Amino acid sequence: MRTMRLILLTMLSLLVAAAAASAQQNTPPAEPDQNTGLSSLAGGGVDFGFRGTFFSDGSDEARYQRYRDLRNGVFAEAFRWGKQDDQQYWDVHATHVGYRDHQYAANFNKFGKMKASFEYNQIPLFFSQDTRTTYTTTSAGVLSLDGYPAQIQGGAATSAIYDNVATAFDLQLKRSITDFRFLYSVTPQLDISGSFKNTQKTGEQPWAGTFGFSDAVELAVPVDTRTTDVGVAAEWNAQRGYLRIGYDGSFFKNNISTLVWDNPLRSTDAPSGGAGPAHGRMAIWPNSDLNSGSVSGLFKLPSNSTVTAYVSLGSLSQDDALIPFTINTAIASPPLARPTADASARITATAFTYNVRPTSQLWLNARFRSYDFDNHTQPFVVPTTVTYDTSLSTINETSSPFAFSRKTLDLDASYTLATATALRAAYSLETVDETFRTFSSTTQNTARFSIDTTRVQNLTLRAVYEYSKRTGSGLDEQSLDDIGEQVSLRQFDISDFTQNRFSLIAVERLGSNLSVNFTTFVGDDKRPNTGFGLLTHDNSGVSFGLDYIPDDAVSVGASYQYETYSALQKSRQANPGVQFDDPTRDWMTDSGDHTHTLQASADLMKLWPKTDVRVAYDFVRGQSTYIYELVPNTTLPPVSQLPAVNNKRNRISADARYMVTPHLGAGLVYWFEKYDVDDFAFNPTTLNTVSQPSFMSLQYAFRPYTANTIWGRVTYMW
Amino acid sequence: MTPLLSLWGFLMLLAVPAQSPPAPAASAQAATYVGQDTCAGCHDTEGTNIHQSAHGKAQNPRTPEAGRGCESCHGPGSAHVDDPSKPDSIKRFPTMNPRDVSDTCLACHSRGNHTQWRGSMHDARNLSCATCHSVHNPKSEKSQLKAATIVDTCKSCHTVEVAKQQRVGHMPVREGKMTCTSCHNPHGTTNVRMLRTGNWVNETCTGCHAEKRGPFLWDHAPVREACNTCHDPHGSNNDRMLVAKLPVLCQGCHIGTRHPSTIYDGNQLASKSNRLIGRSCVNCHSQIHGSNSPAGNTLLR
Repeated sequence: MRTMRLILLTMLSLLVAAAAASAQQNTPPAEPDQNTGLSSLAGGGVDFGFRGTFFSDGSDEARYQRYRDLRNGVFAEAFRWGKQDDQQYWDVHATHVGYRDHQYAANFNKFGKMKASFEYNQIPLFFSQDTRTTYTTTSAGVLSLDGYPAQIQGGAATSAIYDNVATAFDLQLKRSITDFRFLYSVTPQLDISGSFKNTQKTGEQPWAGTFGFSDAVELAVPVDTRTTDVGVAAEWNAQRGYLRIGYDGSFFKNNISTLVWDNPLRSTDAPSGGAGPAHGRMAIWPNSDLNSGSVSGLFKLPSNSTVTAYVSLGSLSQDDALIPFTINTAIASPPLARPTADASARITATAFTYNVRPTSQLWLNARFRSYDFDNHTQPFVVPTTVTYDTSLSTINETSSPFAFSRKTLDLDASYTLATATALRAAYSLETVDETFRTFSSTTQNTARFSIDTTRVQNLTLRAVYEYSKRTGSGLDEQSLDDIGEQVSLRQFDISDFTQNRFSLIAVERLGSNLSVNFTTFVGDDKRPNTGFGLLTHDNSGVSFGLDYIPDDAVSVGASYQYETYSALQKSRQANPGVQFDDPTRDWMTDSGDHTHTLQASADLMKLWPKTDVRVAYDFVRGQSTYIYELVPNTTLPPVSQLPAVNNKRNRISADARYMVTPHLGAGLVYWFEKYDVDDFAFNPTTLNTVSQPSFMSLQYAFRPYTANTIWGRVTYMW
Repeated sequence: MTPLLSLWGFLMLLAVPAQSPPAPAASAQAATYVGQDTCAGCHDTEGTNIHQSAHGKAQNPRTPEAGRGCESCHGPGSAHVDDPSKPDSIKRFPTMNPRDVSDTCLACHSRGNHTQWRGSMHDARNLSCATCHSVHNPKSEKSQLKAATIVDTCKSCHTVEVAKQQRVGHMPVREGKMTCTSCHNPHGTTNVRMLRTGNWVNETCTGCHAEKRGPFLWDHAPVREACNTCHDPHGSNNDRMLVAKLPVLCQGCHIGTRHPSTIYDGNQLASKSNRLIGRSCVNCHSQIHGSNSPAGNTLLR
């Protein structure tokens, strides 16, 4: 209640402040400076030179280069060449040429007639250079252990042998995206556009297979997929509105649809209930097609009002052949209910908006939006399954092809108090109908109030308060009981809640050179009808910063932000039977997450003759805590708390360039980056062997790093 | 909420009879066009620079240059020429109501990415095109932004989201491989949260992560509903941009009996439980996004 009062008081104060300030406005705007920022449209340039990256001992080189490639060697960067005249414009760009993160782009614009663009973008994802495994790939999607399972099964060795024979490998993926787009203006009113995008993903990523509770296996799953996206559209535009008709298709193809891996402990298949199989097998990402057609339009009405409408009809389908229940030859695989997945969904989306400005002060908007994911997949009936490729189990389970239909109505009214100050009140109603969930539907009501004012006595101020309440209906507690959950569990993505959120952004220009900004936000979330599961979660934060730009030569900025998040969730440690109903076995997790972020930069462009200098500093420190709490009369054993998870990154960068001639420059770039991490789950001292007590590990751990990257650079411009 | 609905309905009713758009200033009504050579006589820098931008290409019949030049946007200039000191003599965007600024831009920018501006979240919050863009004084290489980059532009309001990019779990935004507009269209969309692709959160995410879109033989309900149930796409302190660390995140919904209901504390850490160390729950349940194996009912296969 006190928080609510504070928020209301703050809103009221802001209103008064804004109204008072708006009465004094009409300060003439600053004249724009002379930089058009368009010089890059003509001419060109390239940076080339030599780069070296040096790591301290034991550094996690992969994490430093997670989405980039900073290996030692010659480099060619930032190549750009373009030309324009009154008729047309073109440019080509290339960066990180020849490295794993290279990127090439070209654009062409025949003014008023055609636009075309091409881009090739390769994004690496470097997980680890320290991962180790005993598995070798014998064919696509088949991971084998070279005779060791037989030794272990025969008693000639133990699983500890894997630590001796494991070899190190780079665990990495790359995503190669080729994207081509065009737009042709048939007439001044009619445009035809098209796009083609091909995304190829190759490499390996962490994965897992398991043969039982104490026999989990971490694997590097091979990835070889291709997604092809195409789109065509025709758009007609006239004084009174526009109409667009489009088609989009997306086709996902997985070249390795099945993963087979050896059991590290056995080389022969055992019958059901026995010691397990020689291999495990699972289906991985199935091929799928997504096709959709859409029509959208806008019509301008009298009274400065517009209506827009959008309807999209789509279908998502995948029909991969189903693999048998098990690869274990000692178990007769139960019959499949059908030979292929035969999975599909119809997707219907609509959006209708009515917007009107009856006066220059009043702005009203109504929007209705719907999204219907109608899953047509027939439930897959499984009387008997094979768990872990080890045991036949009678489960009498049927799959749940989840479907949902979401409808949202947004009503907004905004009133402009003064030229640049608007008050807004808004209401949203969202209903979601769901299948196979604890609630058959949820309803969320949201009220929002905001004030936005700009350039009032050089003050920009934006504040919004939001209250939401979500309520579920059609509660089916039996469905929870059927799957062995506590019936008072409420899954947090659909559980009842009340939420309050407030945020404020203030930017004050102190003269023409200096501006300061302040942001704060606070939110709380209560789940009063939840017995078990997420009970509350709150977040808040504050940030402040400044920007100082005295002239074209100097630009200085700094910002600091602190954000905190907390959550409380409840559980009960129990085995089936009397423990299940024993409240003395209840426990809570009190989670906290605190992050400090600091960023500062200074750009000194031609402050000294012919010299550009840029320096920047970034710092982020995050700490996550998970504190377990037991009830006062607990019958559980004492808890040993987990250590906090800490992440800290410091980064300094400096970039200096001296232009020897107007076309030729020389420079140095230096990056220092230091990352410290202490994560109990990914600690390298915990994951110190491949052969862990209850699983085979890849030793995919989170390690610190200290890296220094130096670039010697020559810039040539024409 | 009924009173709010009623109030809004009342306001809409009020709106209907008002048939005439806001009247322009009296001086602007009386003004006539003078031609852009006259404008460039005083505003020579703007007159020169505009030709380097897309606005200044007369070859494109949709540009201001192909129409009345400067006066296509600023309105007829004769009153301004007669008395430049008079504030209402011409459209001066920095002093105008933001929605009037946007109306001027939307007169031409009414197709492609801009069709959903009216009623968009940014429109509702009284932003105008000129909040982010500058016609005469852009700082960015593309899109005529007031800031040097898209991220810098968004950061002026969305400090929280931009700061999250610095965290350990992040998308390749700070490496320059993506930017805010890879996922969002700040001009408004038919999707939620101004998401650019598709019609729902998941359709945006699976635009790149197509392997997770299924539909699977065995779906995982919260995955099917919304990826951001478990992931924070702007960045987090957790692996894989999860909103909380495993097993705590999974135990928000899975408490039942046996291993999901167990406290994984320091004792479990000391014994190196495979349900706590490494990738925790997904050490076994690797098919967390859905399984196409007949035996995948518990997402183990």
